[in-house]
Amino acid sequence: MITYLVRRLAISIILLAIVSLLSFAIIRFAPGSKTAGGEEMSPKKLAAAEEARRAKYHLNDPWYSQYFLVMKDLFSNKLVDYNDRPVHEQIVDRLPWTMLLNAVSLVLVFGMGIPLGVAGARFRGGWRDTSSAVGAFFLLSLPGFFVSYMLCILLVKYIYVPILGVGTFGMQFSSWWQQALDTGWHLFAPALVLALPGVAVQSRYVRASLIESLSEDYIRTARAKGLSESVVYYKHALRNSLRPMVTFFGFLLAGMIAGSVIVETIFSYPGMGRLAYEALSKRNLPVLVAINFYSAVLVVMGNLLADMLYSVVDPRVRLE
Amino acid sequence: MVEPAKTFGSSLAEGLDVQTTRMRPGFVVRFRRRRVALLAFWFLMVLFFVAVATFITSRLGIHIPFDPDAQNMSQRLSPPGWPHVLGTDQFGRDVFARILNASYISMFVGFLAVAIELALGVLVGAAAGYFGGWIDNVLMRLVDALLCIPSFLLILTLVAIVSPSIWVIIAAIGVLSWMELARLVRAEFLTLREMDYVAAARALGVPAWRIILSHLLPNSLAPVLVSAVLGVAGAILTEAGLSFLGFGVQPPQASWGNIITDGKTYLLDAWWLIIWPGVAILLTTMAFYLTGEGIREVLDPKEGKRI
Repeated sequence: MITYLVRRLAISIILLAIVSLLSFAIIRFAPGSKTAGGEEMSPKKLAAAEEARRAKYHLNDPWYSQYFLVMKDLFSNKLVDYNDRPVHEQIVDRLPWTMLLNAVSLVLVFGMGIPLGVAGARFRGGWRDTSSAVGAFFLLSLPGFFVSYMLCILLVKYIYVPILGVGTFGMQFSSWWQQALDTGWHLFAPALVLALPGVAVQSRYVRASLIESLSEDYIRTARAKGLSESVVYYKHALRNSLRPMVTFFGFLLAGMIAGSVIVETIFSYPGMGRLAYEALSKRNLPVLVAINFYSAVLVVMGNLLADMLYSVVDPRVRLE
Repeated sequence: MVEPAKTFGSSLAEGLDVQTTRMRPGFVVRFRRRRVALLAFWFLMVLFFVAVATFITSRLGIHIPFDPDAQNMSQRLSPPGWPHVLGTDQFGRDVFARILNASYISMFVGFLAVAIELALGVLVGAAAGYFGGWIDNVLMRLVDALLCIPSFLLILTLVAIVSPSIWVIIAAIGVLSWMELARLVRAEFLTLREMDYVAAARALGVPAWRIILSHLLPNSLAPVLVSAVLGVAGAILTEAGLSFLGFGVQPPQASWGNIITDGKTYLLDAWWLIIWPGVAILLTTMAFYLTGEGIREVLDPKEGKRI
């Protein structure tokens, strides 16, 4: 177990080194301007100002030394963006919000995806199965931004759920639990939008693994004991679906930042996705390099965590 | 026996007229029994026709029903009705004409991006699966590394840096999403290369590239085809997302994503600017998903009747 972990961590570090080099190279070698506009307006001084900026941020250095500089700054906590604001400070501000959003959406995914998948497996071949399958593809095909706006119209016009930001203006003077309730209320819409494709994928996984386990002896035993169908499905058969759930959890962790770019931008949610969007609009490359790196860290961590959890949910899996 | 090529459009016929162990002659018959998948397939056929027709007529300067770029300020933000069936936008441009005009952009992005994906994925997967050894090791570690980069974020970064245009989008999507396909092809090749007929071909002195092209590739076409159909849906969704964020197809060229971006300012007053392009994206991607799923289930002997 310990040796497995050490080996996996070593592989992960090598992988991350390659990934960071790859993503840096892709950003670095893509044609296009690498500096943000700057504040200099006079056309006479523009070229000189641009040159000064390039020198200041080492953009004239060869690419490998740029890569090492960025990585050194990243690890020594000194990376600043083109406005000289520390990148880590921005990420520390934003990351907890994205984690909160994804945690709420994870609850929604399991809460809706599992019953849908069970319905598909239980009534397979019937109209409920077909509609659960078509429904899953429907959710998968829904563009996040489209459903966000539909939700906005619905919520603003009829249900009065707040759709922007994470807190009502003026609420900062209320007690902490009122603020927490307020934030939870604000989280509803973005978390729902973020969860929908996940519900689709999760329901398909659950259905497939349930069908696989239905022919097992322990299911026949459970039925023979006279247990109700719901207990057979939710308590006995669903154990077999723990593995795909773990897989999904790994995916979710891995895609946490990339997945929330659109949703966070629409709902003005102060998370990592919106940070990426803001950095993109201003060509703030140090922030983008950092976000891409941390996203890759999340992917590697997600894979590692999923592999470790497999052995927890399924004792037959041995880590070697 | 029904020739698959007759019922399937030309784009799919290339893959389907090859006789393989998995694609038994009954393929079309069995596909037809899946009503939902068949409906989705015919929807796609109609969409192809509309997209190609719109592309040709707009190049010839004929605009049906309206010029997608013609502004008419006296008619701005008029709700769906006659003559503007789906309403007009803030410049008085006809929404229906713009959605039609955007249809070939989506198809174009979807198919070209998947073509790049296919080329790269099959090439890498075939090389890794057939030759094995260190080639396999190097290529698969590269795939592992690339899979660690969240692709939407990197595509977004790439497109934003290089200045957004349709070609950059196609290239970015294609170049950054072939990895799953490579894994799939490799897995197929690993089993296929142990077959007796491959050993026989090798014993006869057939060169590796010919074994790959004429023995291994045709036999692994089925899963590749399914993955490609699903890939088109993914590429169309990605393009819509990029265009929505403003890093995609640039105005005045309409795209389903940027019609929604333009319309979001009028969200509460002009719902038709959001709904129609959204429905277009939804129906198209769903049709691709359902068709792909239908093909997969027909080809998979273990699955019973589903959709």
